[in-house]
Amino acid sequence: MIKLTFKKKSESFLSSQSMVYAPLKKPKVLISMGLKNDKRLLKLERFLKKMEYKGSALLEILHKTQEIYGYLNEDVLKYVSEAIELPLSHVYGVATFYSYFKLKQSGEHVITACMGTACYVKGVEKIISAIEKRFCVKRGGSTADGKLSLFITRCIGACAIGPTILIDDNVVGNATKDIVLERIASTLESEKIYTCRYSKNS
Amino acid sequence: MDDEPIELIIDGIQVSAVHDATILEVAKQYGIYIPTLCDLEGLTSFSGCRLCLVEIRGSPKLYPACTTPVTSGMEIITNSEKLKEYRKICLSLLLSERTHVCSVCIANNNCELQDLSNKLGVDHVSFERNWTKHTIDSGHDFLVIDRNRCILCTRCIRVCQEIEGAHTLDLKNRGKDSQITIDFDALWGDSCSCTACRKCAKVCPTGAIYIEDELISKTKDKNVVSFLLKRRMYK
Repeated sequence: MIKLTFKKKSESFLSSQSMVYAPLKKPKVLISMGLKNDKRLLKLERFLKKMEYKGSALLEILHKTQEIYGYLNEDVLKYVSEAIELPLSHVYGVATFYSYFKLKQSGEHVITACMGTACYVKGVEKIISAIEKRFCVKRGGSTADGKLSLFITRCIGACAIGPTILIDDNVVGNATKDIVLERIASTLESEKIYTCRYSKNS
Repeated sequence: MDDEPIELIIDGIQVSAVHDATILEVAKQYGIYIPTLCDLEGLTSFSGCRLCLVEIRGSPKLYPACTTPVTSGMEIITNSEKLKEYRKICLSLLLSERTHVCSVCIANNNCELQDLSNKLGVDHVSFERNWTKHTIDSGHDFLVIDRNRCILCTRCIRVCQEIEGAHTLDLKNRGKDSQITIDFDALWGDSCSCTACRKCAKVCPTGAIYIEDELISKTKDKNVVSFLLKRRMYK
């Protein structure tokens, strides 16, 4: 879907020799549509500048945006598409294509269940339904109080220790119903751990 | 070397082709029929419908004719029993994917999907149908999109991007949830980039995009792309 363009050798050589930086393109619309001019936006802006506002860097920019904001905000995506001069529909298409990107704000704690073939065969479905029942959360959604989100993903690449469940960023391998429920409960009780560094500081 | 014509055989007929031509182009040139649904002259090939699959002797795989370039000495079969069966399956899958009911469709008798089904003899669908219930967006002044009739040929996306240059339409989600999106999942009436050029309605093979209060036979115009490309002075 995305064409990546790589710099030719001669180009990078030239730029490093002469030390002349190409003038950066300024995005036409800086702050609009209710976007707060806060630290997060500043950080994103810095990253966009680093990427030289190139459309080919869309995936990296989306990754960074999610890292900064915790999810892909509609307004931010509009801002990104304006800055790197890509059609809005294309940016939206890419953001919805990859299961990694989230367009909804997730809860404080995120549980990601692997639904890859190996984990599925090993019975991850039972664990997921147990979590759903115990914490009143539906897959792909969050609890009413916004404490917990449950997401499904396709293979996190740890098939040998399946079924695998990610609690925030910690992998629980060879997961069973009891272990997972206990771990989630203890995570919920413990001090708040922000999966996203900037989620509350703004 | 590149200028030398390439010699190949299609369905037992010796043909010659220019370098970089695709199988479909050559076949069209020699009047050999290969069914297509997503391909449209003037737009980039997408090879999404898999109806133009052909056999190449010496290879167990099937190749989409619209994107496979010809090489010299190729022996192509376009109409074997195996291919007929495969194309029927492809069409059945397309029909079962969404809600395709000809009797209540605006594009009845003007539908490429229907025409091909008749031509290839798909009189029933053996797969379980999905009967999707996607919303119909008629928020635009005259353009309407009914995603239940969409076969995701992406003609509208390509015509919007390559000919009109607005890139209002694109694909969202993946797999069976794939759909046409307008801008940022907006309603068509709220779209900020749509120029209302109607080209998407003109090239739509089914009744997914149509113009309100206009006969679909009047709307549809497959030649609009090649017509516009011919008019462009600087190519």
